[in-house]
Amino acid sequence: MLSLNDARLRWNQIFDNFSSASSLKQAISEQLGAEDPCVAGLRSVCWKLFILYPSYTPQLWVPELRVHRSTYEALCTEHLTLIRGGTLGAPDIDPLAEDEGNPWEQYRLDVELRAEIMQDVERCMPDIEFFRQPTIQTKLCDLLMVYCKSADGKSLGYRQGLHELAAVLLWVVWNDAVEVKPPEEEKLETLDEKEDLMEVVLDGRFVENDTWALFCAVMKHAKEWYDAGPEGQSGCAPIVAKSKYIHEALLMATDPELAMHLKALDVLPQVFLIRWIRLLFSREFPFEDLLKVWDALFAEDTDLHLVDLVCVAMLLRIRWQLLEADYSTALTLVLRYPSPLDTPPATFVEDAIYLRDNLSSEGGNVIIQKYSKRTPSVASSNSRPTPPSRRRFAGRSTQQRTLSPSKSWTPASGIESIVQDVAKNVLSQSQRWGVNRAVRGAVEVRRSLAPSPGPPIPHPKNISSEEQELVKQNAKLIKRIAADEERQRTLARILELGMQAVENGNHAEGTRRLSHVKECLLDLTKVVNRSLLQQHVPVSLPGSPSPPLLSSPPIGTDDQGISATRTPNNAASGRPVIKKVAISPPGSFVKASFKNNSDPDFLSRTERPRTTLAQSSFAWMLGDDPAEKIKSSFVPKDKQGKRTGEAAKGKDGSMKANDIEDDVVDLGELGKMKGPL
Amino acid sequence: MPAIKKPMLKVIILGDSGVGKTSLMNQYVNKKFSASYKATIGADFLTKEVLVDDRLVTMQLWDTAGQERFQSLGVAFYRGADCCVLVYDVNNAKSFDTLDSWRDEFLIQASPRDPDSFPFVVLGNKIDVEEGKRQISQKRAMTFCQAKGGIPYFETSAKEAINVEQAFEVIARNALAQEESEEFSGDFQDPINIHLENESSGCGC
Repeated sequence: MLSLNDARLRWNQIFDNFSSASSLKQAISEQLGAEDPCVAGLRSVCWKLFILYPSYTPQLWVPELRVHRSTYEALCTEHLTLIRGGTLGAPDIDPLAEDEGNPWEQYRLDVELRAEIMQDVERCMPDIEFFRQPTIQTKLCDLLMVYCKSADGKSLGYRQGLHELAAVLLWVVWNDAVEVKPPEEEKLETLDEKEDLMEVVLDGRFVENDTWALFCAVMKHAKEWYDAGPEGQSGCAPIVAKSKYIHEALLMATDPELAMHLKALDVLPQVFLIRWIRLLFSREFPFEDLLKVWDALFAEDTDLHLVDLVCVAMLLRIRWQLLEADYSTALTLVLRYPSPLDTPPATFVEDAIYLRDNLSSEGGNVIIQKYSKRTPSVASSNSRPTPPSRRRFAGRSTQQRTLSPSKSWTPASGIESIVQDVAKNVLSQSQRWGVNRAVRGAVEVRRSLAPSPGPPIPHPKNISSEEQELVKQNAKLIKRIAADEERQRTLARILELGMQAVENGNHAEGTRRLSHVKECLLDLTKVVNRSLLQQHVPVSLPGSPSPPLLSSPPIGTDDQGISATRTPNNAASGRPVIKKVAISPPGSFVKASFKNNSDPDFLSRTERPRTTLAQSSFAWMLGDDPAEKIKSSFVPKDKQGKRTGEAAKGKDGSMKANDIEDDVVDLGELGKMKGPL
Repeated sequence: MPAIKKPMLKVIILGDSGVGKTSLMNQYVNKKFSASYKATIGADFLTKEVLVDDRLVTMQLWDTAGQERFQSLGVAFYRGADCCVLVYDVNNAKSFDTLDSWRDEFLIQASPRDPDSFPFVVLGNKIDVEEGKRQISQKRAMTFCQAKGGIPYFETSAKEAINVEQAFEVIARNALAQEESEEFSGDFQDPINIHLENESSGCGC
């Protein structure tokens, strides 16, 4: 808390020296040192002006401040009365009645919630004595509880880390507060002097209220970082998608060498970015430095979008260490971030602003050079500067997977072994399988390209034809992977049904399903018989030419395309057979969204319907698939064309020729795929 | 990781918030205890080199946030784990009751090749707290571990360094055994080799 005199000096420091919010923001971005309005003036007032009350004139925002304060009082009454030992309603209510309206039930939940919050509050910022005071801990706990129980945070509930965001805000508001003598309250209604205004704004009795208001404002944008994602599904949390975006798009754009290195090390970005982002870097820098980072952040960007690029700037600052690091060292660097010694951490925000306007490897180089006086090596800057991938690597949308080839599925002989092996691994392993093939194909293409200097983010319009080819091939790989995934999912389901049937004693039906799964796993071109997905399988005679395989609908929905492939058996006759090839429904494999992404076209471009690689003349890229080999390498080009023609005729013409033309992917995908190899 | 390097054992420590996961890890690695560790956000990581039967191995210890419940780290984080340490607080019955779901969820996330033989170790922490506060008896914990296929169980105090070293020795040993068994089966399941072999035949059947 400040003395009235000190507070007045500081208050005047702001309102006498800075005539507008923009001049105030300007002053903060210039890092004036002792003149900094957040240091010499009042940080809490600056923050309130930046994120809570954009109108600069106190006479205009003080009424809003009053509304906030009374709202908080009301919420406290609503949500804290019970736990503070208030009335539990009529005395005749049975405390054990499992009735939703039973206040005792609510009381029990409140006690649990409070204990959960208090556990974190008690160990919050252990080095700062301020937070050890019971009154401060109670304030922090109360305001967190109100947030978690009221409309703002009810959907989120309490999440670890919220306590630390609130703690920083509380510290700042408390430090600037003044003790106001009660009689002053009478004068509040007739405000017209600066001095009175100041006392109202800094009134120590409302520290908790004001902190809560600031906290809600920060949480408006930070909330989704804490969102756990869809119930029961892991890895779908928005923070994971955000981390991936920071790594694979933003870092890839500014420092492809570093992005690929981290990828090659298999350092998962969310492992460290969860903490960096959720706590707004509060564990990464010393407290005083942290406050300046927040000053700069709030001054520049109240929506906190800049946070992503602050992370990139932090990675660029340690890029040389990271490039030399092995897995453990790299993780240690990012999880125990070496706070810069000679430059204040607020420069990360400055760098982030620069990167926002120069999101390219040139921009990245400027930042790297600025602090290390070293430029990324010729080799890395000469090789194609990998552009930011604005497109998700579709095959990895719902499940992350390792690209390690060492643990994959191998063809097994008997049904038993298939059941044992496949039941556990069918999804993940075969996905890896598909990805491996795709990655190898992509890397081959990439290697065959001579490095040529180009613009940092080539737009589809001005890239060379060679690159366009590469881009197309990449797009098709992605499609193929998606189709593979869909196929595996269907197989997994059939397998499950088969096992159920066996368990239920229906061996014939079970065996039919299991052997079909086996066949499909052994022969990648075999069309999955979707009729097996139904509980009662239509009977078909064993040994018959298996018409259901040809006549059953293809995997996925009706509007999918068809494509011609040749089964190995037919290869000898030279007569192509038209078969339906699984294509996942449009956009179905792009599940993890980037809804928190600031780039609006990012998402829309990921949701285009795609055809599979198998349908294209680039099917040779799936080299290690025997059937595909036959189709692509052993058949002259004209025949491939013919098959495509037949396919188009074969059904409703849903194989869209223009899919290939307009489906342009950024080159970044290839860069990303190269990483783990 | 290149095969010539010394084995890297990935150990993941799970359990409810506040049971002492961070404390145990720091006691083991840094031989230090602090009464005021901050709540872990996301995950944390420490490594330690240890000798297991005269073999030098690196343990990669992953401390996780108790509240996270697998939601944010993603399956990739859990994959390739060689041992999972389940921690509860002997003075907190609820943290014991959740062990089972921690175990189940871990198996789903990590999807080890053979879930039944995947090594877990259970640690009942905070045994330094006065006896009157204890809620879970040693017998009860051991019964649970027995029922789950004989999971090794240790009662520990990160604060007073009781049993920490011993527990992690078993963790390292079991993790190494797991790593070796995975390596063994992995060699035979290289999909690329299989396909290269098949390539010449021209037939996928």
